[in-house]
Amino acid sequence: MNDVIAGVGALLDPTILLCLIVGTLLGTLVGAVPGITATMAVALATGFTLTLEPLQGLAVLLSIYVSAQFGDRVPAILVNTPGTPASIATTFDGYPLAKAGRAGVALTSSALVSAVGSLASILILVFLAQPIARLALSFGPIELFALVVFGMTMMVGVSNGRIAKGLTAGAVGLLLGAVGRDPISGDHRFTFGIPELTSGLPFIAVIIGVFGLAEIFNQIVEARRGGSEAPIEQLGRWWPDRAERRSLVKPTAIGTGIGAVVGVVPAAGGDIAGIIAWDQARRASKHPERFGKGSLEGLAAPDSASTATMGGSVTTTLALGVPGDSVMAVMIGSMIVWGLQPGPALFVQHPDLVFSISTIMVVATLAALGLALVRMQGVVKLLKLPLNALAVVIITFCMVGTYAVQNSVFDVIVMLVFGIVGLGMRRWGFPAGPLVLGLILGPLAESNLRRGLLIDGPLAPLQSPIAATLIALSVLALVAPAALRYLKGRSKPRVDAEATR
Amino acid sequence: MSRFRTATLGLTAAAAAAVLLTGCVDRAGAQAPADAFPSGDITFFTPTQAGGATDLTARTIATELESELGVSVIVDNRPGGAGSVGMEHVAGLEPDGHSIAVLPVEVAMLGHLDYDTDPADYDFLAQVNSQPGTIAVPADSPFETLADLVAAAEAAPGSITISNAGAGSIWEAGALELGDAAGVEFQGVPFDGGAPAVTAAVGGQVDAVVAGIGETAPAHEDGRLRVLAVFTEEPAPALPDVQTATEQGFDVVIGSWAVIAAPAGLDEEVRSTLESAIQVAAESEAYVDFIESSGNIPLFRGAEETSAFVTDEHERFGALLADR
Amino acid sequence: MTAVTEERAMRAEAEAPQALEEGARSSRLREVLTGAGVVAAGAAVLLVAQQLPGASAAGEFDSRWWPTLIGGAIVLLGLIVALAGARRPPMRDCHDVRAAGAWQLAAILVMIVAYGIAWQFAHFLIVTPVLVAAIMAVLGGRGWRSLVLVPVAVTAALYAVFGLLLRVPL
Repeated sequence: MNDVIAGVGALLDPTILLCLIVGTLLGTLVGAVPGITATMAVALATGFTLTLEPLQGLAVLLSIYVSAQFGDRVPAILVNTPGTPASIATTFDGYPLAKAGRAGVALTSSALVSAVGSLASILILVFLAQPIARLALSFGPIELFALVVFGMTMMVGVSNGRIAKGLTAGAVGLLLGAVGRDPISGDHRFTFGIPELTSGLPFIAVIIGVFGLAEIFNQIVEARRGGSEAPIEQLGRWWPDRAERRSLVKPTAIGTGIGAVVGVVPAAGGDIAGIIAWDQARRASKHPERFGKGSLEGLAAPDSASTATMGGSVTTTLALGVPGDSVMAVMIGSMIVWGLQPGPALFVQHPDLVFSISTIMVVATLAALGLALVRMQGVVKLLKLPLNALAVVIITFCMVGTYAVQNSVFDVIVMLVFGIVGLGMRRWGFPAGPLVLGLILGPLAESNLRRGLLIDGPLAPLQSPIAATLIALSVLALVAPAALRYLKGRSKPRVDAEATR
Repeated sequence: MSRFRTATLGLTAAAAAAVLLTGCVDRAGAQAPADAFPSGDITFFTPTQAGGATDLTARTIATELESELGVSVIVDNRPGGAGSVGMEHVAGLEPDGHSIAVLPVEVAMLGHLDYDTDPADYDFLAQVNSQPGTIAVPADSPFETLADLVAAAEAAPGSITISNAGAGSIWEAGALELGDAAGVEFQGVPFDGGAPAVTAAVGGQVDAVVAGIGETAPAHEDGRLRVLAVFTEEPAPALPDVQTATEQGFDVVIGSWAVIAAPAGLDEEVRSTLESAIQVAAESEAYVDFIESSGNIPLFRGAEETSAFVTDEHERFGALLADR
Repeated sequence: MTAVTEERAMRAEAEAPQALEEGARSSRLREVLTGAGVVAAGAAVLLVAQQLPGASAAGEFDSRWWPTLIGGAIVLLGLIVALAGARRPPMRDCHDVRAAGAWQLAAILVMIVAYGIAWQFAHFLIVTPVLVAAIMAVLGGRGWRSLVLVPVAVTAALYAVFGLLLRVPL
């Protein structure tokens, strides 16, 4: 109890509040700008925060970390461009909701469930840090491989009635993920002598290309024709009504649970959690056919899941000294310089620090939520711009944002090329979601499988109980829906008859 | 129409707010006389992402250089291709002293791994730190000494797995060198960076890990790992009780390091101005504290010595990596 | 620009957004050709994958096997796409391309390339407003708001966020 008082009391310092406010503003801003990720913002801020006191520095870095997860939802919902990879799955239902004139409800619901996921996961940090951290250590390469395979099963779900084309896009994504140096032997693969490609395709540039640019390119080529889609003009209501609020409960619970577990796993973060949660919520939903077409449930699950990874990631980081995700990898560097070596000893030497950190995260979550709810009216004014001004804003911000990631013109070229690829995929009926999933998950799958095989030989996936369970679940996830349909027979006409073919 | 105007005004207001917010953080750039070097801002390239050890080294030194040289020193991150993208970019720049770079050990390795990186493209100004290599086993491992580990590998070649920071990394080379020195074969397992490699050892998925002392020393101290040997000539300050590999009969000295360099063809006077400014920066309290707090060894080695050192390392890695 | 706004207002009245004509199916030929294209791409991948450095020390699981696996999967999926398309072409979910729109997009891409080249020689703050104004003009923007105010505002916002706040060298 004394630790709680000491930990929270240490924050009663006006400069810390100031740091929190600066961090929240900065985090929301960089989250909302496509290209700049929370990892990058934290890394850039590190140079400046190292000169501060540890708690002040942690306040800045943690509030950037938390609030970027609120800011990145806005472009994902409004213009189909994930602000950071953590909101990839937000686009699946967020953008269709906005196109259907429900952007207001979508933004508010997203902010609310994001806050729920974040707060719930902070409780884990406070109460279960030590026991949960042990689970994290049992995730070696082969277990991580199995988790990634489980994540890949959702390629089927997101293909939404175009399974063959969806899987084709997924396979192409996996192939794009293989570009670069072989993770084990170091051989160059598909790099065609371009030095930039040896570290792989810059996946943030690809994501922005196939989601955001492709959408705006498509609007340009279709515009001003009788049947073209209206850009979002109505935002609709802001607050979800009672029925909508009730429908949010289940997917948020699923998302939070999945996010908490994925967050604990080292190196797996909000993007993977969101993807898995979206698919699991779809399976559990009474209206799976609405997923991907503008379902509030399909928005709530990934958004709560990706924020729920934060508590788990921080837990793993503090309790084990092992980075829980890429932001934490950067933050560990700062903590070491401050003399706060993360690891089991931290809980003995600085027991109050856990409470300081969780309090900072709670306050940052509430601040980011508040900011998200007030600021929206302003942000969405952007959408009232005519198509040409909107296109200019999106194209230039995506270009400069992508350049800023690595100060690289090559990345911008990649983004433009994938904008055109994304446009082609739309025109020929290939969904973009599986491509991006393949690109992100492919390298993780291949490298961890091959590491596992190096360590334990060809039977590796079966020797680990965790890996075997996850692989069994993946098979079940693929086979069960078909089996259920077979058992039910073909008597019931289905709404999405296309999907079952 | 009015909606459009509001939106544009909003955008302008947001821009203005951002400028104001920046004003607080922005440094006041002092200007030097135009005739002498430096005649303008210096760009300090780092071939890594922002936030890593190399980047923070650059940023700490940049701050010190600013007060020493009286101009702004702007850190410019050019990551990608294991550092080759940034290194090749710097090699192609004008050697006027206004473009310098911090180069990690990879500058001496990548040329042997199918990259177009060559130390001859640079004028080296100084070496500013070194990070000794270590080999560590999980805390509950049966191996108590380096000899135990080598004996196990001798008994069953390829059965002992050693994780490292990645294919072509200095720590993969470290495990190779240990294998060569002991005459045994280890099974290397490359990970995607140092942290996951150490994690795999903490979690017991691999038998051992070769990593920098900054990554293994904290884990050694709180009992998650046991460091068996340090790959230095003298015992390392961060782990004074751990024997060196040489003391245990295996002649392995390998580690990571960082040098500061400029594109080849630097004017003699510009070089000595930069060299002495870097010396002051590398001996400053802020820099020494930063390097020591992460377990590494701060040092300053002048331009000539550094050039010879990099050439030696380049040749040595050539021989070592040839039999990968 | 006024024209655009008016037209959008009219259109919003005239139609419910998102309504696609019932029964708009893709043609069989188009789907079969798409599938054939995928098969060809997969075959190319298989071909390139065989040129990769082979097994050195890694045993069976060398740098080739993963791309080979994926290439095989792409060939197989392409066949399925072609067969399914031949049996019953799927519903179309996008509208027709307008020729003028395609030209506009092509023009924008050319301007972006020109911008990238110009940026090597001139400062960001000079070339960016020109690009923005040019894109606005191609997309039908007229008048001082579109051609002066928007370019200046967008450039200022970009420079403030990236150049000043995030210290990106622009």
